[in-house]
Amino acid sequence: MLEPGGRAEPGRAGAGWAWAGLALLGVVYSVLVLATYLDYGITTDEPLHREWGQTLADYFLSWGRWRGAAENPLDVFPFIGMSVYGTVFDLPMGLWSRLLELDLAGFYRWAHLFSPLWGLLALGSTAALAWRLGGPEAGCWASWLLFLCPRFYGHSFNNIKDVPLTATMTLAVLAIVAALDRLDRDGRLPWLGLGLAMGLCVLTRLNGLAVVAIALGGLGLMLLGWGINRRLGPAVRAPLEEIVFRALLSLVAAFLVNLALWPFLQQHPLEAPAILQFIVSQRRPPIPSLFLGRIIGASALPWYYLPAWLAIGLPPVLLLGAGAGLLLLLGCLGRGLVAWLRIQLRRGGRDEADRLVLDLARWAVVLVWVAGLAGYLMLNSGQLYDGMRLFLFLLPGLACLAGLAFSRLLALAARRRSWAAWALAGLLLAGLIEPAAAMIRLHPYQVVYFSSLAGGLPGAEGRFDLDYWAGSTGQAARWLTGYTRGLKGPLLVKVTDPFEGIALSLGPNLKPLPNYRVKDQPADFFLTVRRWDMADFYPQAPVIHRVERQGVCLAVVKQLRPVAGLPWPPGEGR
Amino acid sequence: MRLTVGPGRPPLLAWGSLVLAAGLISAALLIRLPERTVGPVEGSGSGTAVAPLLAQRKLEATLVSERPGLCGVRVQVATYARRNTCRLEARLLDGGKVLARAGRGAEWFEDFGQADLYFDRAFKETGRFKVVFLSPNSSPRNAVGLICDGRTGRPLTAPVYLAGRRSVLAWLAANRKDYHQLLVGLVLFLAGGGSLVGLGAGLRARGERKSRTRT
Repeated sequence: MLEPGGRAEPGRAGAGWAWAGLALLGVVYSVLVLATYLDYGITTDEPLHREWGQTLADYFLSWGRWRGAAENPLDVFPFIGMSVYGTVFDLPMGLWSRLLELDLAGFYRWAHLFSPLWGLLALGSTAALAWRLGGPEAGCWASWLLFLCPRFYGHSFNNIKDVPLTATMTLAVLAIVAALDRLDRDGRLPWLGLGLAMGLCVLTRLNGLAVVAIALGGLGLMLLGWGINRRLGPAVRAPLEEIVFRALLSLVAAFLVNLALWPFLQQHPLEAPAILQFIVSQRRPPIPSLFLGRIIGASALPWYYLPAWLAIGLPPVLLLGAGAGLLLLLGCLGRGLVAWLRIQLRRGGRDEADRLVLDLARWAVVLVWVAGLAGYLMLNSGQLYDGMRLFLFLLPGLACLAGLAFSRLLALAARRRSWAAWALAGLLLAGLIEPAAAMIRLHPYQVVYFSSLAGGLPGAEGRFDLDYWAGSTGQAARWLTGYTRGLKGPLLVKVTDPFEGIALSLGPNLKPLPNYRVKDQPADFFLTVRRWDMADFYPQAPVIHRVERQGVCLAVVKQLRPVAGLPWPPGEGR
Repeated sequence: MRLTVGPGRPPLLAWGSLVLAAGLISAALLIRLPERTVGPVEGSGSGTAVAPLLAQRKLEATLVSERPGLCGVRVQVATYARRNTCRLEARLLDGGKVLARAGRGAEWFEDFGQADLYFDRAFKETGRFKVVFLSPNSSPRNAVGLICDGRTGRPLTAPVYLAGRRSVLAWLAANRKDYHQLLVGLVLFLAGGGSLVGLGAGLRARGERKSRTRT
């Protein structure tokens, strides 16, 4: 198990239970996706990526003749051109929509069915990584903990970039850990797997470049350790130049994957360093956040924005498990280091020293992924906004740590008393009831989950951003459609983002108007998500509908003037 | 376990890299791409107009070939800011006889961009040819237009010549220097890495043989 120099070699029974648990998770997730994917609203950035995906599809279908994707004609993102955006998550839906000639509504229906596949990939990669690090029970626990993380689950349906990044980054870390094990061997091409995984991660979002740094760091640590171990005697593994060559081959493979699927890079293949420099130096848009009751600009966010969001946005059972797992990992690293130093001092066996170095490198990779990236983001908190959305990629790592801790604790308890293991397992399962119940209560807005330790959603109202991606506006638009059914149109509705999503949900007698801030423009209704001061617009207008969860308002509909056929003043909640 | 091709031989990694490098460079040298050049535009006058090319309609133009190797015709197209799935065809005529045909789907034409149509063979003959453009499967909502000389109403055309064939490597060096550098860099990397790994394995095997002989 998770011991310095040890190996995860489970008994057959443990592996059998783990496989059963994972199969059950796969079935439960798939059934839930198929049963509920139509409930999830269109979010703020989805229209942008729909357009981009179709531009990408045109580029590849025309064999590069349609240059839109390479030259960025959209120019809709002044801060970071879409052409330097990755293609992995937008291209498949773009191709699919071109193939089936989907209309807007059809596109989003398919997109919300396609998006959860990334969630499934993240769950599978998390299970495989935790399994590799700590055995089958750890893998099973980690995947279930991630699945029962409401914010991860909710984002899986309509977050078309951060969940793919989460999935591909987890896959890349898994590939790094696997490659560290196998880079000294011919035959199974671990460098190719590593290169493909790193390439996909970078193609998803350029922030994925972090995994290349993690891979190089892990490999460097391993080579340094093995270099020092040379004094202990000859090694049975492949020589240094072979391992370095394989590592370089993985980087070349990652570059070639990017070259094959990234139009901008295809047009400027030697400008990768310049693109990299641009990405590193660019600042994110200064989107303000509601944090601890104050609306704060991104540049003024305190360093504890990230840990505070982890504390309030994760289920307590996952948070506690991740904390315990972090301590366990640090303990293993410390003990492994001491054991390795002892071998060096006593001039022990080379094999054992090499194995210890390998374990230390693997654990360091996981530690840097979870704690190192979190620390980097804390130091650069001016890059953050939208609550937990931009660091969703940390969640699989935290789930892995929690899985390692739980499996270890259960193994320890089972070694002492079997009833203690059963009691502990019952306690941990009871801990999963809280997020599961919250997911049911909040459906389909699991992204507004707040830990019961923070007072749940009511405790966060007015203190933290709630439905920052405006998924609840679709439900408000559908309600307004029903409310005005049969009335003569067009009735004018001022709406906030996502304009396209709201427009799709409005009936034919309702006409959406995008410029909600222009007060002189006459309109009949105002529909908005409750974020920043948007719900305070038109303060005199009566609220006729609220989309609520646990008594907390997420989106509102206001009636701005009398409408023939509707009561005035209106009664709320009709 | 380390897979080796034979006892004391370099590992598969070395052989694989060297073979891949040799394969890449061989392909880049042996595969030949046509090198085409474009002659001057015929018919440019004081202004231009767009002539829609609907079914049953033909547009005639003159194509002047000043040197041997005529293999296609370049025209400027209008797509009416939409994607058209019709097909643009050209026929090269000598008197009433069709000498060659060319055609291309219009789906990815850029509005007011250039489109090259390549004939099914190249011509050694020089002189003036008549070329007819047509789009048999077009309709009012699915048609392209050709940019024409405003005075004569004839499409602006330019001859495309086949200047020979070049290897991929030479073609890239002439047309896409960045890809040329990438290809050469990749081949050098694979060859250098493979050689280094192979050399290291060979030297170690030699050392082991020597030490075995001594003992």
